[in-house]
Amino acid sequence: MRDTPLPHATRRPLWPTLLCCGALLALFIGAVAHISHGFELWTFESLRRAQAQQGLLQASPLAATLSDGSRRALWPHADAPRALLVDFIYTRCPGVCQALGSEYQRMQDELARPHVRGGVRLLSLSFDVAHDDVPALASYAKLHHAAPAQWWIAVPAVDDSQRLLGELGVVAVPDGVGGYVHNGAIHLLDGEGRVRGIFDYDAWPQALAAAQRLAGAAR
Amino acid sequence: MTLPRRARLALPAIALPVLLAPPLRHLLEASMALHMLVEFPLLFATGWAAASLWPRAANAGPRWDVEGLSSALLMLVTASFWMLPVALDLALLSPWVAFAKALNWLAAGAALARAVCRWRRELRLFVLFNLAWMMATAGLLYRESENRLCVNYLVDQQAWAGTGLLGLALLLGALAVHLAIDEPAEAPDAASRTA
Repeated sequence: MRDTPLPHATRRPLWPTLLCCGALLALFIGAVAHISHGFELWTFESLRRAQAQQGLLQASPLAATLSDGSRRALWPHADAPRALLVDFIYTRCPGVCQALGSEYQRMQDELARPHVRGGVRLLSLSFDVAHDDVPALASYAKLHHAAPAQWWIAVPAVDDSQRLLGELGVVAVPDGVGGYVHNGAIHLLDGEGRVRGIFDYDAWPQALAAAQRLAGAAR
Repeated sequence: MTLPRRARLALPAIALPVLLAPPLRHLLEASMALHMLVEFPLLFATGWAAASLWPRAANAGPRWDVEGLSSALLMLVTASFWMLPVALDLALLSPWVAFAKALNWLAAGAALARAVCRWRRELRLFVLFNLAWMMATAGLLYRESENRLCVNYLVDQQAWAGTGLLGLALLLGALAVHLAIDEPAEAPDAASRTA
């Protein structure tokens, strides 16, 4: 396989090659350190959550249509909630979204208690903008007994939805049977649209507590 | 390794638009196995074929690649970087990372087209074995993980990609063994004695 014998190869100076190897290694190590958050996080999802903890995920101003047909600005807004617990849904989802619906029901019950101070709002945002119109959102709200005082169910415009998913690193992948698989979680946003934390579904009590702390601090 | 000139011309001419045009690229990237096991090798082969179009200089290669050390390192870091789950995801979510990925694989192919013939047998074995164990490790990780390691792919796609990587690792391992048996080690300075 070797075409040309190299009688003088060993006599050639090695330093340009060593310099090149050093530069390549430095580039490689730097790139890996950069994308893995200092060799600690090896998946996009863990990286996204770390960025959220550091306040590096910022959502642009967003307006959406609610399940009652009204349209409103969600953030930033003069009377925007001080803390929003946002999840991404599609109303046809038979699995995890329905389970998340029940977690949101429990959070809604907690927020409706008389001693709980306001400022926290639950928000389920549909990313299935082609299918989830107002009647679909209303059915979802009815199914999960969503009370508009605590829990908004909404759908943004197509472009806004795409932009928001990109900004927050939420990826919905077709599951091959008509639905989607997505890196769903409970996103804690402040009134300016900055993500302050991302929580797994089963960590909803922690998400709620963090939202109440955030709302209290913003008073 | 020498491809017929027509093939060397055709491969970049056909593959580059296919690999860089969004609809076709997205089709390949919709599957993790196709992304890793078809798109990466195609980019590499395209770079290789494009570099082969220029006549090879009849010397010992560039000063920055004495003994093929730099080109071998480029191959190893390229393969290992693009097997990271976060790199795969970012290549789909960031246009800059997608561009860097294409450029990286094309450059690796182009560099190796000129360099592989100058690699010593030991270096070829080292690179092949290293690629094989890296792919086997990544393949096992992707196959066995119950969680999605990439947000852009489903668990079953991940398992398929893992199986494919394991298969490729076996192939490279077999090639390395074949090379080790078929091409006996050179005596020191054999090349200079025969020259």
